[in-house]
Amino acid sequence: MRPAGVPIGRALDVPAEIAYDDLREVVAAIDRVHGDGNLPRIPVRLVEGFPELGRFRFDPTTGEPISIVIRADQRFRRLTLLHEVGHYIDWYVLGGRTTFGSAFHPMMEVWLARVVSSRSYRQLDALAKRGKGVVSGARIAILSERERTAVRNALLPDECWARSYAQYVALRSAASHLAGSLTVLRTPNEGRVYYPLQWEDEDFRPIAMAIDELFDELGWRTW
Amino acid sequence: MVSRDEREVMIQELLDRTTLPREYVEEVVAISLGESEGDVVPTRPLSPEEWRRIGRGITAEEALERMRQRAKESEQIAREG
Repeated sequence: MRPAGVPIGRALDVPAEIAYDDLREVVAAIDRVHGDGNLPRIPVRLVEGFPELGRFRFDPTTGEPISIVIRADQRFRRLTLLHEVGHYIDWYVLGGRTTFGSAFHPMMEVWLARVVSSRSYRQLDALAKRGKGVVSGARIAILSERERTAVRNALLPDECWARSYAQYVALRSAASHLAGSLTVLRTPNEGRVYYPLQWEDEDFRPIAMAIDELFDELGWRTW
Repeated sequence: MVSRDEREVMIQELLDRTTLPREYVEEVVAISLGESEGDVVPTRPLSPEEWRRIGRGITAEEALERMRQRAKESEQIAREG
């Protein structure tokens, strides 16, 4: 399989400065995996001093995407850019600029079904519902309301889409710089509650295949 | 608005309890304090109903059930129609 359509690199306005070298590597990784349906250009900027890892800004009245902002002072800039590009695609293409398509579009049903039945999602869902997590195989930790808020946020369809899109590009591009970030997020620590925000390889395989089919249907990949 | 020290205590508590990296924890704390609504940021504040309308506010599982229900209804309309 190879990417088809217009390279998404044309849509992502990433400055040519040296500070953006890592983000340009990410754009190149996306271009190796899929094209797009001629998305409009969106500025991508590094900014310090905000609490989220990244932001996808959009105008809910006109539907126009405004910007993708990546928190500069963090270790997950590459994965964050993929995550925010996932939101951009979800809003602009899958949702037609009125919704996030991950929650509504019939084309997303297979992907959504596979996410919901994945081990990662079931574990997060159990954390949110029961409010307690297993630590080191035996001890039970009661989650604070703060932790449960975080887990509930991770169960939103658009957040599931953004995380799975990021992992999909990391997998299909075989970019080692992306694999490193995934490893950090997927490593349980002795004595701590594990949040499976990203999927183990085997757990992710059916989800990746659903995204393959989706992108084939969109004409973003071809033989 | 919490002080820097109070925020650091909250962050440290989550770092000690979970596998989440610090950057993720800082985002979680900001959300729980009402300082952030997450990484999807509209240019004007949205009401809870508006958030739901664009697809946020229900879980992926609930979205799947709704999608299947709508597909069934569409099939039924097509059969009757």
